[in-house]
Amino acid sequence: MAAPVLDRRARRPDRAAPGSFGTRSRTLFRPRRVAVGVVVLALLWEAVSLLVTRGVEHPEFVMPDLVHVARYGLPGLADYYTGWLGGTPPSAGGERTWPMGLAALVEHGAISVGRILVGFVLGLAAGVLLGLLMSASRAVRNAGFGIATLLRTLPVLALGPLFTLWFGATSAMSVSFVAFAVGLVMLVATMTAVANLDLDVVRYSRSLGLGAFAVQRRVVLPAILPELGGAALVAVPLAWSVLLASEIYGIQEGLGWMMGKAVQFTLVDRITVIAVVFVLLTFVMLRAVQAISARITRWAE
Amino acid sequence: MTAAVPARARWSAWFWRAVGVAVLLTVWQLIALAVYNLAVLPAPIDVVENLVRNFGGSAGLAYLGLSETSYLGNLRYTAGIVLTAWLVGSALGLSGVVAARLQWVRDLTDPVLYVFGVVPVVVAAPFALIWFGFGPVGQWILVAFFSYVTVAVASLAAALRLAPRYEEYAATLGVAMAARLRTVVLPAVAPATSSAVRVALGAAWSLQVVAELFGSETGVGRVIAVRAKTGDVPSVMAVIIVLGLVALVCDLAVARLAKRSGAWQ
Amino acid sequence: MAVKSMAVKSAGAVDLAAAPRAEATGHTAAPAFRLRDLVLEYREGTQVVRPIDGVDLEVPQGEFTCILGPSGHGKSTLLRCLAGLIAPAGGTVEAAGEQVSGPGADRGMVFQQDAIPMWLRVEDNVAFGPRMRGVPPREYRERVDRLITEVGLDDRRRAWPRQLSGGMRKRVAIAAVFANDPDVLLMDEPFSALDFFTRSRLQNLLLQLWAETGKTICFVTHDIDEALVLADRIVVVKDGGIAMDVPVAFPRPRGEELRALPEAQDLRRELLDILGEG
Repeated sequence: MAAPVLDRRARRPDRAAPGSFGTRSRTLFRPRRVAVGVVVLALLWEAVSLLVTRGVEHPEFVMPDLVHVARYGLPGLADYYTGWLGGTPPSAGGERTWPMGLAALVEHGAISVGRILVGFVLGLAAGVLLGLLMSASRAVRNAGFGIATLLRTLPVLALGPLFTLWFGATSAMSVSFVAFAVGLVMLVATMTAVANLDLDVVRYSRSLGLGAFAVQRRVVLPAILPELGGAALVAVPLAWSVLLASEIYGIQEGLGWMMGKAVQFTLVDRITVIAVVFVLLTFVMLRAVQAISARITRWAE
Repeated sequence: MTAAVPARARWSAWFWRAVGVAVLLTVWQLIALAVYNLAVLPAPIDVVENLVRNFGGSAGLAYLGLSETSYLGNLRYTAGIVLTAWLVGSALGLSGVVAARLQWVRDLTDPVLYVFGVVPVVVAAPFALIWFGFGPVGQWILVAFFSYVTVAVASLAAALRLAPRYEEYAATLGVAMAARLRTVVLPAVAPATSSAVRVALGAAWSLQVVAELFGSETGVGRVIAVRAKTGDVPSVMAVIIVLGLVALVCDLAVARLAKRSGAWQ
Repeated sequence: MAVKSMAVKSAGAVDLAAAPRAEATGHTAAPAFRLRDLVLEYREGTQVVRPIDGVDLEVPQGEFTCILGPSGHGKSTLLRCLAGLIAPAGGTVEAAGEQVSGPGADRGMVFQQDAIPMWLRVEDNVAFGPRMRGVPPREYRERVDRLITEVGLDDRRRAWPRQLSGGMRKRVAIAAVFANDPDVLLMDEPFSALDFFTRSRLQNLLLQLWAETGKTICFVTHDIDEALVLADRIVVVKDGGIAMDVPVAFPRPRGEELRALPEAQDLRRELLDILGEG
């Protein structure tokens, strides 16, 4: 009767002790189950698309099956290719081929990545710098908080048309829009981090004879870096959302523009391919920002 | 930032925040005067004037053929979808607490959370809108789904982080599993979860407007779209700002509730 | 009342049976715990650790047992097994004659680190157990009130735990576990993080409540002096087994004069030798 009750969930000691009666149990992230789940989601898509095929004249405009997506999604993107990397795009009388579709992805992807990187770095630098400046005194910081609270509640993505009206349908619009959104996040994060900073750290370095500027650069900035790293991670998906929102508005290039075009004609196969690329790029950038901030703050606990 | 902050310091903080806002408005007004071009940068006064004129009904919007011709009507549409969808989605997101303790629930929800947890949700918008319509249903599902993912990820992580001894303590008092989830795990993760709920609401406004910009009969996004097309900057700014104010009020209300539920911290 | 019952006990002095025993409190005759060839294991990384390997032990009802041992030798693991938080890898555990198959309201536990819900005010925390088990309020209200008074938190009833000192939070934990009226109290180094004066005050409080209620208490500690002050019996757990099992029959209350007692000094030295060697 008293057979050892070994908990099968017990793979790691901190999650579930072997032989626990369940009170310690924590569920586990099981990659294999997630993989199965994703496959199930894909099958679900297939099943629904089969149902749709029966009732709709052009199912490819609603929910094409995944085979259709794989076959026509990428080549379809060739429509948006300008011939920038060579070859003959459909717009110049060429065929919708895989290489042409890939060329379109590379062309517009490069443009989008360029915009987001410039916007992200600009916003990051401006936000942190402004945040440090505004932290100079408690009064100024509170004033800054007032402004930031107000600006932050604005539905950021809704500002797209406004930026278009100001900067025209140009890359400058995209870049400034991304920089604005990222900058706002970093500004608030910087001011919050400085406000939460242990005053003794500052007092100690003052007592060593450091000047005000040196304290900001040598002490305050390094001390808040770990928190800024967290904020930068939050800013990455936001930046991609903003980029997408900006490119859907009037700009003639970029992944978002392609997406907007495809949405206009509800070309779900193309939308799917663009969305996957979008997600992958976001993921890569998240990892990169994570790695960089881990590298910079490797002294932190 | 605890309750121990003296009242005077709090008042002074609010005072300086108000000063900040006043400075912002003044600078904006001055720059607008210098630019002196309504189509580039209207002054705050111009925006307010536009807001007052069109809040209850707008001849311009009627002319452009919108079904809702007042700012108020469009605002009501947008806020109605955002608030109901966010509420339902956030409530579903509490399933993260259960997923942290029951493996089969975790296995069921993880694929969705893992795939959509890090995705900039705007990319999901076209799918929701194409499948469920460029109207209230598609928008509602999009916002609800996004709220669900945001809250579920946070509540799952918080429940996984909780030290086992709290539940063990309750178990040694004779409290059963389901009651432990309700009376121990749920209150313990409330602070982390409620901040995720706030984040979800803040982003929900943005998301809804983008969904409306993609194409919609009604809503603030629709107003922005038609007004931006005619280069009417004061109108665009007016609706964005008034939507921001609504979002601010809602956020403060949620923050207040969250603070009350987290008074023990 | 407390003073009186303690006086009765110290009159019974060296006789072990003078502690509140089963027959006095009307419990059944089965021992509070009966362990047979108990084996406990847990996994650490890829290794399986076996801190308890073949322990036989019987704890009579009403006894105050201190489980003493060097850290990492399984005394906490043993206690967690008694609570039903860990299942045995071998052997059997019976509580009051019944096979232990999980935690239950009959075996209350006080943890080393604070485990009381931080989001419940003091009075709600003390009433937490009976309330959660669906006991009607009129059956526990009075007991809860009395316990809050006894642990000296009358003026902090509406406080959150975070507003209390570490010692006060332990008082809440003790009151809460007594309020749930279990047969057995399991205490896992509850006072180890407290300063000397707070600790001795809480030890006295615990002894007082024990004298009033006659509950069985199993108390894990690594502190020899604490065990000497509290226990009817000291069980030393070491190297997976019981290295020593000795009755402690000094007169109660045991204050500073205990240190002067030659028998106490001898026992203390003996325990030190066992704990200290290899």
